[in-house]
Amino acid sequence: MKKYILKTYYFIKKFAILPLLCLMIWQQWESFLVHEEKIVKPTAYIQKYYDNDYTSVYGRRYEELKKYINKPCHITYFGDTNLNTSTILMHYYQTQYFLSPNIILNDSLARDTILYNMYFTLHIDLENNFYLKNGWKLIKDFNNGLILIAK
Amino acid sequence: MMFSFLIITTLLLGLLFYLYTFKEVNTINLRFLINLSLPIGIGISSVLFIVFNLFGLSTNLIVLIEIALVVFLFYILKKQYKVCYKLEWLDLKKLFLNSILLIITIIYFYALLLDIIIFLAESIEFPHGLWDAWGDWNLGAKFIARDPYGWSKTFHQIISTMFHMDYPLLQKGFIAQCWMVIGNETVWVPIAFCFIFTFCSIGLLSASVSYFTNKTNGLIAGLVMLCSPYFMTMGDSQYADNTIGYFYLATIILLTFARSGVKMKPAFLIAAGISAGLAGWTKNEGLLFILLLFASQLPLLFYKNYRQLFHELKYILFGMLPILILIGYFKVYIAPPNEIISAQGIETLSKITDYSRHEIAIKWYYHEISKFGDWIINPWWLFLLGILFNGLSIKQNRETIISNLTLLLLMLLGCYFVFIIADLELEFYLHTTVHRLYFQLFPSFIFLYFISLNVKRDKV
Repeated sequence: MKKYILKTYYFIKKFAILPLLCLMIWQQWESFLVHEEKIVKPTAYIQKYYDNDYTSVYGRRYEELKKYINKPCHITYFGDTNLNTSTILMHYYQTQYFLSPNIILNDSLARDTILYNMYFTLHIDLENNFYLKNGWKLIKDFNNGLILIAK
Repeated sequence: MMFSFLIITTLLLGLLFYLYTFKEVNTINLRFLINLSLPIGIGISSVLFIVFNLFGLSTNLIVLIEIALVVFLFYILKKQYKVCYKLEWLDLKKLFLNSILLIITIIYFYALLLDIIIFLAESIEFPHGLWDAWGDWNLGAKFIARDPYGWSKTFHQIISTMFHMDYPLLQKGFIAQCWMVIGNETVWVPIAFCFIFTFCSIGLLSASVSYFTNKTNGLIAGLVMLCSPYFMTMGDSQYADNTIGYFYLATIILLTFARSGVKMKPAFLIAAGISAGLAGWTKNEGLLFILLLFASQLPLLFYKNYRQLFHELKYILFGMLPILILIGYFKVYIAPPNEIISAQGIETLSKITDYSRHEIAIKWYYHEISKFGDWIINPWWLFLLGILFNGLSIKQNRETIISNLTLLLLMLLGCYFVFIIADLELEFYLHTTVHRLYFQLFPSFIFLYFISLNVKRDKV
């Protein structure tokens, strides 16, 4: 009896790896299904996403603005306010990401340069803007939600 | 072209360093050596770049210094050590004789190919990585690359309430160096960086388990990583968790090499020290790892006298010392203060004694372990099954298993107390961190698990 149990045990032990391998194949098959579109139609997928992702498109808004900032400086940042905290932070951090090594500060202390990033509202009320009414100059409204003003 | 040149230089840097380290081991698996050399070479290159950059040297000159170091290492190796290295690759003859091994090898390469495709496809969809990648790692790299002579003075001024600008510079430094050498901030540099660390983790784990146990176990260990969907997600999101996880694993493997065999091998202890130092140069968790690495050696006092242990720790410290000095300089003179440490005070004690915080932390530790890795079936029972069928044997690598398992447990415990005392919204902090902590430690856990199993070992 004992011999029989041991024999069975060693038989199971020898092939115990097979269910494990089946599980791994199953797991990879599930991964394949999740990413099926990318693997089966790679050309269409690459055309859809290559250099067309949200962050790259967002970053292209800053290309022209960068030409107006010649050397690293500190910039006060104002953005859309009627958004959830996560979105407000995302716009702020992406601005910092694309405009580095300039330091972008969202602490509402006015420095020599102020950047408005109105991604959704696109414009600010230029006539009633506090800074413009107090002698600051509009450097440029880039017509994509980015507005640069300076002392 | 220039990027390939820099990658080859770093590979050679790591390769020659390890050929020097492995002079006491005559047979080396080439797969093992390459998976170890490239990431460590990148780490050393990052350290050299930041050090010389802080001294005001230009990037091209720094690259020339790295090349000179490669030539110097080659000269030393050729002149002083005439060791005949036997390099192993894939033994096809052996493979076809063992049908199970052949099946596992086919599944392994199928999983590897699929993961490479998924990694690249995800990288095309998110070329700048996810939140932490562009909000911290790549942001820091841009700062260095765009203002190479002024970044150290302005780095602490970046306001980051969610991300950590006080994290050290391994990833940021190397990416910045590549961008500066190429002269273009291409997204393919951080993608390639994360690709190297993600797949070298799997390769190193697989090759080292093969070395210490057998080829079948080596391939299964690699498969466990390849089949964990979240591991790929962490890689292609360009976070530094796979990077630090790699250095934890490399440290533990090198310590195992150092303590395997009849006598202790100092060169491996120094290499382990360098690897631990690079973990500290990657993320703040790495600094905790270094501290706990020394603490985890204490149980070994049951097996050896304190003089012998102290002698070993000296070598580890010697290896990491230059990197620790650089980290210290970065923390004191460049980085903003750490938000967790600077928020400590009288309320720390009240946080530690607050039962509700412990309840939340334990709940998240359990929750993340129960849905670990996004597997279709929780993988933990597989590990239990392995123990059930094979049993455990710590006879052969007793010291390394005891000290390193202690190290992993201490890491879980240490991070637990960091969560408790942190001045951040606890649920959110745990929600975004615990699963990443598990994944940082997961490759090291798998390595220790497989070398603890009582299985037939291949002759080395």
